[in-house]
Amino acid sequence: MLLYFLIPWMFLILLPWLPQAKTRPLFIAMALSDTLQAIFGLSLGQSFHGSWWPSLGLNIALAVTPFSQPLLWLNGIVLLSIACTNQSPSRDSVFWLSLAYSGVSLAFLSRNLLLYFLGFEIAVLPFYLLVRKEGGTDRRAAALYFLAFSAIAGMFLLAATLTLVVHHITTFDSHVVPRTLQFSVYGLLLVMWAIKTPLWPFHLWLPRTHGEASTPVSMYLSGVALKVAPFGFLSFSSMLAPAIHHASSLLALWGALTVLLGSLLALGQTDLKQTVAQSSIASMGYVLIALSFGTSLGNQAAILIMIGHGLASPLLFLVTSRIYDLIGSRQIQDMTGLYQKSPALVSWLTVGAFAYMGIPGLALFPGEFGVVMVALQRDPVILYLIIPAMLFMAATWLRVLARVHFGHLTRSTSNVSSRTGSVWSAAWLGIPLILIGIAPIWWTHIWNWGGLK
Amino acid sequence: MLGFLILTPLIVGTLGIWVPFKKMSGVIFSISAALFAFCLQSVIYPSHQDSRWNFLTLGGYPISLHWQSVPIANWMACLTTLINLLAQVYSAGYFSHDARRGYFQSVLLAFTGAMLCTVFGDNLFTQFVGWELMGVGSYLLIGYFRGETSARYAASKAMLVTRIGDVCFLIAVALAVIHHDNTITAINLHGTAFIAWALIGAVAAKSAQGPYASWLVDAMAGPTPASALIHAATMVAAGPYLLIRYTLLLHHTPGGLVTLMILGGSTAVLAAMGAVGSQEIKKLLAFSTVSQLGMMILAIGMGSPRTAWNLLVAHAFYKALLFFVSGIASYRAQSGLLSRMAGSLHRFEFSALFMMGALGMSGLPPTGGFLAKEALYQTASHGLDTLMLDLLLSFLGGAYTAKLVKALIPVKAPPVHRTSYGMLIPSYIISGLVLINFFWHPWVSVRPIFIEQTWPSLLSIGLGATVGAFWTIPFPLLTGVLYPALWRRINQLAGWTVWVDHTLVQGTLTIVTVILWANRLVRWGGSGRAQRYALLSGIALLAIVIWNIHV
Amino acid sequence: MTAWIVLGMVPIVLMVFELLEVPKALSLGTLAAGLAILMVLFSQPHAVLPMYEHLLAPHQAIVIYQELVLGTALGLTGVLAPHQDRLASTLLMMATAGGVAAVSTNNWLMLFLGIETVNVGLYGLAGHWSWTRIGDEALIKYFILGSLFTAAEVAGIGLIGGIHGTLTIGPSTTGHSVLIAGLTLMFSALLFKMGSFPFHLWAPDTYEGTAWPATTVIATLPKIVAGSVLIHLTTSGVFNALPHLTQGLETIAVGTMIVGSLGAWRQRRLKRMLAYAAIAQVGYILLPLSSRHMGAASVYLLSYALTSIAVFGAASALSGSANPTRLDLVGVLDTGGRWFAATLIVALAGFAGFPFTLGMAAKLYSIEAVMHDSPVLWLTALLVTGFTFLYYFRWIYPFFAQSPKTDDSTVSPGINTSQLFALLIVGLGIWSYPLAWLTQNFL
Repeated sequence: MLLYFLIPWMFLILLPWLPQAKTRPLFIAMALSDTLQAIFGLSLGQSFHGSWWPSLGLNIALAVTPFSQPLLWLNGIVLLSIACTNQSPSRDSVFWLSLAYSGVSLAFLSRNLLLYFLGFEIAVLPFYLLVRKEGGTDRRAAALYFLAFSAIAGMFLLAATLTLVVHHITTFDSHVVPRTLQFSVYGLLLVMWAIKTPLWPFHLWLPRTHGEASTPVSMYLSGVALKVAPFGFLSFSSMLAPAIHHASSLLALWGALTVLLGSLLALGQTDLKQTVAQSSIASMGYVLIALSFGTSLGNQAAILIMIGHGLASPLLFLVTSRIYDLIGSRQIQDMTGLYQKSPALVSWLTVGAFAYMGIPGLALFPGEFGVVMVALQRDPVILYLIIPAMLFMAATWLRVLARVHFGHLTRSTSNVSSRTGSVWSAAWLGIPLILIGIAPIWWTHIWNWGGLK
Repeated sequence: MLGFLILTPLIVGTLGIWVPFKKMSGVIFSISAALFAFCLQSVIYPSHQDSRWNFLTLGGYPISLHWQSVPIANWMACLTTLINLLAQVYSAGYFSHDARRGYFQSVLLAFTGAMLCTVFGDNLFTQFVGWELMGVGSYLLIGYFRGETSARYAASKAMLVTRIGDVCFLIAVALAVIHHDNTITAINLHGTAFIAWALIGAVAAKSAQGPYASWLVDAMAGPTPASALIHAATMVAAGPYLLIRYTLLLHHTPGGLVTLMILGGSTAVLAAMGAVGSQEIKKLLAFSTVSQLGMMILAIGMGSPRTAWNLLVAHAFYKALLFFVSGIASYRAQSGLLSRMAGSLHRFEFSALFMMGALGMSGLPPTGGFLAKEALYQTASHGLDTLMLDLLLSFLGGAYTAKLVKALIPVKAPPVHRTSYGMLIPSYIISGLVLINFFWHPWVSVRPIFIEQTWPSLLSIGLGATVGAFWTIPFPLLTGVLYPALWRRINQLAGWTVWVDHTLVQGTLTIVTVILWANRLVRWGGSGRAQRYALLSGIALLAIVIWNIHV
Repeated sequence: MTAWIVLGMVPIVLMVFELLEVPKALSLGTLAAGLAILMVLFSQPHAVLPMYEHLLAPHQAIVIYQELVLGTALGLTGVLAPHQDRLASTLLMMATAGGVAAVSTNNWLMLFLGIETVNVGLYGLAGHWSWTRIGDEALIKYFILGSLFTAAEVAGIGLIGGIHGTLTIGPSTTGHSVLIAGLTLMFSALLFKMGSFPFHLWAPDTYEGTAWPATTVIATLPKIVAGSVLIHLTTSGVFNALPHLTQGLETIAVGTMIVGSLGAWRQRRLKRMLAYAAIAQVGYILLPLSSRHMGAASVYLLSYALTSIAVFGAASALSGSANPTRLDLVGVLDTGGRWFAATLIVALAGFAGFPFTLGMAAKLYSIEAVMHDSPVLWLTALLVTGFTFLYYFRWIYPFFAQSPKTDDSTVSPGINTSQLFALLIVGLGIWSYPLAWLTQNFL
């Protein structure tokens, strides 16, 4: 387990000394070895405990849980796909990305409250720098938005954590939380979740950040970093069960509202990258609905959505950037007849779009199905919001597909010939997306969720 | 074995969509033939087959793909694979010079696989998966002609409109799963009314009933073999099939059957009138399909799933035939307009192929359509209102058939274009099947029909034909005005949401402004004037002292 | 006693060196050696003559503050070595001696003397390194305001002594308004030395005007001394007579944070940003004092000392006599000054409280200390902490910004002691034992 952390850390220490030319191969090697380590080296029940700052309540407590394992796999796969698809990464963007990666890994594995916070926080600064440095024309404001929202969210998380810590509750495994304390902690955490998950109307940072960020950053941010906050919900849920139970219908309603408005926002965009970004809001709304009730069904559904979204949205970001390379625009209307130029790209885009539409056989379907089950079981009212949201999401992606699949290519500003190699690199994310969609039970079996007879 | 039957077309078809390779057509022909042979064999030598595959266990609820061969499923599968095989052969002729034929055939095959998944499915989840995949397949099939705006519009519309039904279906499935109703029998016995209503909603959208009717009419933008398959034995036909499987559930759902009757009856009448008023051959056929599907649903609503089944089978044969023939005709006439079709068929083709289909469509002997329509008439004659409805439908059916026949009557000059055998052979085969269907009915035995009792419906068909032959005024019915309006409304909604978002950004900027003002205030303190520093510090000092002294 | 004698002797020796005009290296070496020896001597248990015993605070934690002041001075000696000459060494040593006296004493007058000796040393240093009129102006401002509060101290000591009848510092409980006024004056004077709101006004101008080496000293030594004194007086109950002490400390701590971070945001020049940032940092020292939490305040003070030496040392080496804007920092990582740049990044991250730095642990100590108080307090403190990220990261960014390679930079390549401090910031942030040992055994 320590090896899992050691690989990125050694890489981070070595990186500044390496020549620029060696950056990419070593980045790939690091991502590959750490992904393999996540898949084969980490098994359920592994744990590590060490004392660090006992007086602060900050100790090293790491454990692999049935819920962290899938996310660790996702983490590795997304990083690997970024490493492989990024043709000429600059050294410091690789550095910051790897730093964010190690922070996210720490957050996923941590059983200590403050350690989780540290992991959460480590993933903030790199993204700020990455967005600030490598982004579009409006990247300054975008980076500021990201940093301001993340800082506020982080501080609310810290407030909640410290409230527990001063009551001598330092790990997620403790079960006794006084009832009065629970509600204040839950309230503080709710702000964090609302911002980082994100829930409408605290989502403003997300489309801006994605709109300006470079492709690897968008991929990692939406693929994995976005899952840190909802994963925290899972970790906190055992100790806050009464509070969660109390507020469940409200949170579910909020999540459903987010799904609805996120889908509508996605529909209202003219820019493909923005469409992907806003679709993420809707998907994360599903995650929060699933989580809000704290049932095992809901939790599993939430993880499945996170995995599905964690594969689909980086895939679409990647495809978007390739399309931009090809036609020099991200506007949906400029993509008319794209299939003539690059059928493979359009195929991947179609796969991603169908995943968002919830077509069976792709990875988002099992999770969304789970959410509908949870909603029916606990709070059917929210279906009134989810049903139109599903239709809006379908409309959003059909609108995109209607452009790329049909018509004649009118715009060919760039003479870049379609690089097949880079086009097929989408397979890094697309193949897992399909594999998980076809047979989720294989994976849930490996993650020890039970159920395979 | 059943699993292979379903997965083979799905997998091969999906692969074919992605990776075009040269021998694709051959592979697909042989797979289609094998599928049909297999289904035929399982119909002739019925054996119980069961194939189950755990898809996922979520929170302790098992969600599995479960296929089971029951007689009706076997027959339906046989029908589907047969039409698929014929459509594949037909498309070899239809697309003889098209480089993307392999792609088209792959989609067709995968589409068939999806239909088989629904047909054999023994729980709602399995049927839903097939149902959804059919939606995707229809999107790809209808949107085959990528250069055309109509194809773009029709494909998107088909997908979006049927998704409304799919969402209803999804909720029905989830409800069934959390109630542990994991077989069709279980759902039929103690499924809740909600499931029944959701299924009705799903079927209405997929089978183009009621307000959803227009997508199927627009779907004519797709290639003819695809239309044949979609209309005859998959997708839209899956709706009535599904309801037939869940008849018991519908029976104990209060209001369910009546709703189906009203839905099916009104759609049938409206669509038939639309057919009478149409100017294009494919549009007429599409309207007639909607109308016929309405009749099937009407039959189910009247409590006679067997009649619905008869209608389904008869319709599958003659509609596939009519599509094949109309494809040939419009290929030769280089137009789809009824007014330009005259003389596009040889006399023999007209009498042996086209008239068989036309007779079937209007419900005249010697076709399966006749028997099915008579069965519907008998079922409907229990009440005066349904009887009148049925007679009206017969009248309208006669009318639009007559219109079609009139347009295609051979003239002296023979058609100029030659047609490949790939298009003709399937037409002949299926024409024979329309005839055979007159004597032989799969799965159900038809109640004896006394010829002397058939006169009212025959009479109304005749009357209708007389009127229809001279009718030229179009009916602007089911033209799909609802969909653009809905689309605009959705976009308006999205626009509002984006506007609210901008407002929120402005709100955030207000907070930033407040912080900026505070920032300026602090900077004003650090103005660089020592006098002010001393003054302010002194005031602060004094204030603290005074504050502390005055307790 | 030896320790105190040596403490007195070192400045005298340095003065003699000045007269003899010995090589610069010798006086610098003597200063460093003297400080090191003093650190060893003060760490040993030692007795003083009975006649002086009542002047020393009978407090175990005193040794920590003595070491802290001496250590800070040693660090400054190392960081500022290129700038120091014989005079500067003497002045620094004098200020240090004053500081040690101030933190150790149990007597108001001694305290006054100690603090004023620090001031004298600082005025001297600021003037010594002032080459421009702006520097002189800054010095004047510092001097005027410093004198104002010196007067306040005198008045305060007079009032306290008048009521108590003795100048020995002791716990106070009575609520006589004259005593309260005196204590308030002393309290305010200490806050002024720390640069805390509402007496922070001098800091930005003084920082900005003085040369980097002088800024480095002003930013560290007096704040450490005043901070130590304030911590030790507040926790031993000297200010208990003040009716609004807790409330006042809370308000001042949060106010200091808010004012400091608001001021630091969107500053164009590095030094002014650092001045306001340092103000905000002081808030975290004061915050735990509102619940009389000595350990947390001391840990933050220590962290502040280490981090600001690293920040100012590196910034001083990077910018020479200039006061850089963010644009000036672009591309520094590619030049010879990359190690200073790296140090500055680490130190700013430490100020911000980035994980795996000492700043993070210190912030946790500081805020955990007030977690039992009202949520408004700690939530505000936390949100301000979040706000501080905005300007720290804003200043970290330029180092990584894309830039055309320029090799005409004025930065002298090389390393100095500030890198050691950067390592300490990270090292103590990861290796928790030293701080844990410190808080358990002394605080």
